[in-house]
Amino acid sequence: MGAAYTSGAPILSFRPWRCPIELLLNTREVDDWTVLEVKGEVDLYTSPALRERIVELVEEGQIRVIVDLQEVGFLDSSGLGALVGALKRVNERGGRLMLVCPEGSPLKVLTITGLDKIFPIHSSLDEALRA
Amino acid sequence: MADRFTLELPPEPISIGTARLFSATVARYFGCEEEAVEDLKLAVSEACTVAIRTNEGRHRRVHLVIEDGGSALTFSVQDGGSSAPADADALDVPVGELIRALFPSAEVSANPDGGADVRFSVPTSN
Repeated sequence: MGAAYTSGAPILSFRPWRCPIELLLNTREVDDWTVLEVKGEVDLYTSPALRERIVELVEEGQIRVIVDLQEVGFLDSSGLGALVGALKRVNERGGRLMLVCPEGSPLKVLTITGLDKIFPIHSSLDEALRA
Repeated sequence: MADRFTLELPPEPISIGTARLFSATVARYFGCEEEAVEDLKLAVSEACTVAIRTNEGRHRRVHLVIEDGGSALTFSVQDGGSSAPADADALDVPVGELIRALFPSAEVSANPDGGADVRFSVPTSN
């Protein structure tokens, strides 16, 4: 990987090597729901881990799932693909999947793509649990 | 001569975070609004995703170029490959559509090898 700069402005401080992104996934049971807390950035590099975790949950028979995106700072179409795949798998087994996603970049992506009409989206976990 | 920043990325998914960080660093330096920075990170990520999927395993680098045009920064992502492979969970949202939703004047053009080049501009405070 290489970075280059031409012309006269001050050189920006940038380390042009790989910046690994962490994605933390934590699962807990709340009432009769499985809450999957996602922390970090979800993109082409990290979305496979999210996809695999949801597949595991569904295969374990946990089909009432809340994906908590409150600590997600970035989500692109790769992440949306993982969520759509999760919704499809849960629906096929007669379950339910909801998202917790307050105002911010991830919600904007869901809105732009029209997926806010497909997913039940709540601004907090409490609101989701009351739904 | 306009300021020009280039980043060459290996076609690996781990590179996408670097592209976002690089783009955001340059945009903030030139005074782009924070909302625009979030939008351009998404657009860069989308463009790089397609480019990397296209070129993964071929060792052809993806080029991210940022140019200062005075009142705006122009971002371009260029790949050089063929169509991206099918992904069972891939969204049925063409990459250009999401980028154009964020930047209506974005140009998404097919290159001679069948890949796509993406170009869009973000206003600066300069």
